[in-house]
Order: sequence, then structure tokens, then C-alpha cells
Amino acid sequence: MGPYRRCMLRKGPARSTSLGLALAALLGAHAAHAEPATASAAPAPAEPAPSGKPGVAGFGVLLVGGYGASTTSVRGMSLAPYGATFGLDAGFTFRFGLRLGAYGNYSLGSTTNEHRDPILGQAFDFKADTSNLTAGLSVGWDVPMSCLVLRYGMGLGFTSMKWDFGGVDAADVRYGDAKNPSTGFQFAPGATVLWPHGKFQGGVGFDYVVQANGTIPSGFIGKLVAGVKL
Amino acid sequence: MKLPALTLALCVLASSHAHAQTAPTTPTPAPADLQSPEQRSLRYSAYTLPTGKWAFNLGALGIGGGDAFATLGAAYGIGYGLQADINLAHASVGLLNIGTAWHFLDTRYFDLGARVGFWYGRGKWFWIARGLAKEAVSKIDILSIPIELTASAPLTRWLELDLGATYAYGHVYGSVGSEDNAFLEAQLGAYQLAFRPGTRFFFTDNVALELFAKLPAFTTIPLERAKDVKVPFKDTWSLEGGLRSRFAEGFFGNVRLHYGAVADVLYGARLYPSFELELRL
Repeated sequence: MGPYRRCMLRKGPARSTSLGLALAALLGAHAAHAEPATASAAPAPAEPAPSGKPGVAGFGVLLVGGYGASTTSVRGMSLAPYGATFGLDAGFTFRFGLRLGAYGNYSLGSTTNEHRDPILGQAFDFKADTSNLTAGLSVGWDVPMSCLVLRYGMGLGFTSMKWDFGGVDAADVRYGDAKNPSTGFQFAPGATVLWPHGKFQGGVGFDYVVQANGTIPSGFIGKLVAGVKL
Repeated sequence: MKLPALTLALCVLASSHAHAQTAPTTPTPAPADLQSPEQRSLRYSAYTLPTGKWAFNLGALGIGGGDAFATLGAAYGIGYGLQADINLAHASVGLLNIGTAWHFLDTRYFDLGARVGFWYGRGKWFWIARGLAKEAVSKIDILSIPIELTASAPLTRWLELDLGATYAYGHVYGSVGSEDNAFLEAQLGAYQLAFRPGTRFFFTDNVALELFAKLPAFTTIPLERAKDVKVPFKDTWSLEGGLRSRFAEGFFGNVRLHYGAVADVLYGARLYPSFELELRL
């Protein structure tokens, strides 16, 4: 039974959603079928857990494209090692929803204009060019959501950030203790709404990359994904 | 991308149509969804655990006083709408964080609940602080007693509105060298009146989107040996958006994004994520 057919046969309150389009349709549909909530004290009969729903299990590979922005500053600099981001995400989802996977992303980053006004000496401007490469393992959970799948994820891996301050000595911008590339542990909670259609699956989501190394800024990456599920 | 978009729209509309055809004309028992007593969220809601039910939470990176930094919580439904809970993660860093809640009004469309917490932070035991922060924190102890009244209105099967009013009594004991103290800026010892309106959209029986705002009317940090510090609204309001899902029977997952100055203080970024797993037995 394919995901589209499942969606058609779904019983109970119509509570489908996906992205902005589906949300609008969803709320409209629910407004039409709105039912009062039952008394909260009333015991609810047991319903089978979502585990075991078809369409979730299997091996999947996704191409990732997105755009990220730093959410923290580093040593007074607004480094931007994210920007346009491309990557690959592969993993296996068990029938009950658990997903184990691996990922790798490359972010082109961008150049930012920085300014330093030291206590001693003259103020100066410089450009900071940064980019980064991340790779790691991920653990997640796929939750069937009508004809869509909501994927919770937590990436655990490493970041390697290249930096270039032009002709400025890193020590002059309080960055002298950082190696080039600067590396560190990262973890990345996120969520993605996937639309499986046969062997194809595509979707939209986000990752928030939390960097443990204080010389690398954390960042938020919005992403589009497309790939296959076998 | 026209075809996938069209298919997607048809999918959604077809699902609605299918429901229209099968919608019963007589009331039916509620399905076990995220609005059922066993599964509904206890976070910022009027609800408590059913009698005899245990809940265990594991989370990180929260910004609220009750779940700041990390959560390893245990809660138990005592009965008569009462619940007791503790955050063991905070206890491990010298913060006693216990609370009780009472769901005392339970009607079809409107519920009321009250919560009382007791948080005591012993600065010397806050071992995760380092350097200057550790030195500053070690000189103070913090007491906070938040009292919260929350109304929850499950208006439809897909929508719930919540409104919480929290009055937190706080006191800071000891010497504070400067106002730039992380404990204080995180408002852990604040004397505060805040309102928290929120909305939950139940997309399916196992997925909900939760949106909340924290809007403090006033925030004051009472200091024992210095003038009280008034914290302006711009530094105290915050927004929170998150997804909550049932992964399996009795097992739930949450991912949230927080925005506010308090997240900046705790983690160095105004926008920050948190996550939480819940197990109910």
C-alpha cells in the first residue's frame, strides 16, 4: 500500500498537513469538520501505536540543499561559515520508527566585513572568509503523519571550519588560539517533513547546528531534501 | 514541481473528503490521541498525569527555569488530579527543583490547573560553571517559588488554546559582584509576573505543533546586599515553537526552537533549539 493510497483511506479526523499549502488546506478542512473535544476525564480506548505503520521502514538516501546562517558571534566577529549548503544523508529506518544514519554537508560560507578597535593601536577593518565541512552519525525517529512523514533527527559529528582573515594576523583579532581549519564536536537537532511518493521522497526541514568549539559559530540551516527510499 | 504540489494538494483534500464521508452522526469515543488524558502534554497546560501514571523526561538545552540546561525529570500522578515532579538533572548540579501540580477543573471545553515549584540553587555546588562565572556563582544561593495558574481550552479535535499566569517569588542570598551574573540574567531568582499564551495544533493523532509566548509584566531580581535589579521587558519576553509527537505507545518526542534574550544569556544565541524525550508508564 503506497503512501498516497494510505492517505486516501485514512479514517478519523482529517488532520493532514504539509508545508504551507497543506496547512492552509488542513485548517480549512478541520474547520469544516470541527468536532468538540470530548470531556477530558473520559477514558480513551486504546489505539494501536504508530509503530509498524507501513511506509516508514527501509533504507533511504537524500540529497540535501539548503541555506544556513550563524546564530552566534565568535570573539566579536560575525563569522558566516554556513550559507549555501549541500550534502548527503543516508539512513535505515526500522519498522517501529527508529532511524539510524550518517550525513555529510559542505557549506560554502561567505565573507563578512569585520571591524576591530583595540585598546592599543589603531582601529582597522578586515574581511573574514569562512566555510565548513560537517560529517557525523544521526539518530532519529520517523513519525507517519497521514500521507507525510515527520522525521525527528539528532546529528552527532564533527565540524571542520576553514577561515581566512586576509592579511590580518589571527592573534590581532583574538583568534590566535584557533587552528586552521578549526575543528570541533557538533550536534544538530532538527526536523524534516517528508513526502514519500513511491520510491521517491522529498521534503523540507531544518537543522540547528550546535558547536561545542567556541571558535566555530552555531547555526541554523533550512533545507530541502530529495532522494530515494529502497 | 507542479505535479508533486498538485498531488500533495489532492492528497490533503482527498483525506478531508474521506473524513466527510465517514464522519459519524452520533458522538463517538475519543481516540487515544495527543489530547487524551494519558498522552496530553503537561508542558504549559492545565493537565496532570492520570492516577498511578509515571512520566520520565530526558532533554537538553531548555531555557525555562524548570528545564534550563538539561532535564532528567520524573513525575507521578498521585490521584485527584495531583502530580508531583522533580528534575534530577538540576539536582546533579546543585539545584533542587521539585514541584507539584493540581488539575482541579476538568470540563469538556475548559480546564484549569495550578502548579507550585520550589527551586533552590546552591552556588557552591554549581560545578558546571567555569572561571569567573564559577567565582561569581559560588557567592550566591538562589530561591525561586513559581506559582502558576493555567487554563487550557481544547476547543476542537485539532486546536487547543492555553493561557498561563505565573507569579514567581525569588530571592538571591549572598554577595553579587555585578549584574553580569549568568544566574541572574537567566532570571532563575527573579521576582516575576508573567503571562504565557499558547496554541496547540493537532495535525494528526500523533503530531502536534505547539506555539507559546512568555510575556512578563514585570521582572525584578531581589538582591540581599544591593539594590534590586529591574529587568526590562525586552530582555525577558521569549517565544517558543515546537513539534510534539508520539513515537510509540507511551513514548513521545519533542523538538523546539526558542527565541529570546534569555536564550542569548544561557547559550549565546537568541535563537536556540531544545529537545526532549518523554516516557509514560
